[in-house]
Amino acid sequence: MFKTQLFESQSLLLDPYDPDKDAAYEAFFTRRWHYTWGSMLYTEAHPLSEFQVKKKREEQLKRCAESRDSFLFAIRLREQKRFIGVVELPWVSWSNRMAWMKVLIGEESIEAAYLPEAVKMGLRYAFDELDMALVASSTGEFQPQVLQTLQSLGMRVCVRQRQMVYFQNQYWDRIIVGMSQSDWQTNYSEEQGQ
Amino acid sequence: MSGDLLMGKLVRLVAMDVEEDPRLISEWDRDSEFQRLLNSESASRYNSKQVKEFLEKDIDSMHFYMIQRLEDDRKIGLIDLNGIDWVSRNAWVGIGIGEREFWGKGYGTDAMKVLLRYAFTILNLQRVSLNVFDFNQRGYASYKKCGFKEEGRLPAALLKGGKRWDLIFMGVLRSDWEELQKSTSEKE
Repeated sequence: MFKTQLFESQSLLLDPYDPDKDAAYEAFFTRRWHYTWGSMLYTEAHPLSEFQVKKKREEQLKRCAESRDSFLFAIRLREQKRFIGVVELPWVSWSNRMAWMKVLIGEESIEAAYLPEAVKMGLRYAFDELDMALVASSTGEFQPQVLQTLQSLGMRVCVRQRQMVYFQNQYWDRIIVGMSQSDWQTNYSEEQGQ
Repeated sequence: MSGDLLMGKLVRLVAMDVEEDPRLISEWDRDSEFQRLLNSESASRYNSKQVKEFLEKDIDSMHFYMIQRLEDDRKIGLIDLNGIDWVSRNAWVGIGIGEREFWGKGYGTDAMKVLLRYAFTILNLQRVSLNVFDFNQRGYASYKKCGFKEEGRLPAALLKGGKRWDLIFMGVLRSDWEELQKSTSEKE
């Protein structure tokens, strides 16, 4: 009936996040500053213990279940079911039909290979399932490859917050990108439909 | 500079009275336009007990002040610094004038100037950020006067009154603010 799957793509699965199993891997990912900054699990970006990640994610999953205004998925490789990162909609504004999205891949060596596919899954979920009118995401000026990926998928740079992030002894701009539902339908209409 | 750090030309910023001020805020919320100017989320009504509980929960994580007129000590609005990031030295500001008779008379601009002075000279922040909605032209002009610059907008991000509106992002860097102080003092 539907041409696309929401939780499966060519290489990836959007799975339930399992704090008992995934937190240990994610704690390891937080040794990478880009990951821990993007995850915003703590205000100050620093490596986290398995205990800290588990506690934060359990709290988040509780909020997701209670309020239904945020969503968290584990990204796993289809073949080995290996946990490689997360797709989050940390805030869905139902009255505005607008969602913020974060997609994080833990290992730098596989980020380029899987980030585009994971971002697309997040966008598909937000537009096709939640019927969002706009999805926004942010990155830092120090992550040009992430910005390039987001733009290659059709997200547009909308905001550049000057000197918003301090990292490695200098200030960097925070860049906010967005995609409207009409852009999504224009770009990806061939993959949708019944 | 006056001994009162939070004193402007028209207003002073005062700490919240958790017993009395929630009642005022709850009354201001009856004006849905006030809420639409202040919040991106849908307007609603909260009784003073709910407002008090919200403020008590978050008061330690933000700098929350009531805006009080110098002329008669009347509390006419609120302003807060929230989401302070001490690494990047950034904070977000929210402001609302609850008493409609005082809209467009410079009280909000004066309160914002006081808060920015506090943010940069006392808290040693590097930048202050805010969101404004594109139907709020009065707010936009006021923030420009205080030194904020538009840094972009999320198109049609908000639904208010049955129409979609842009969510505008503005920011003022310490260097912007210092430059503005310099040019203002030269003019005076």
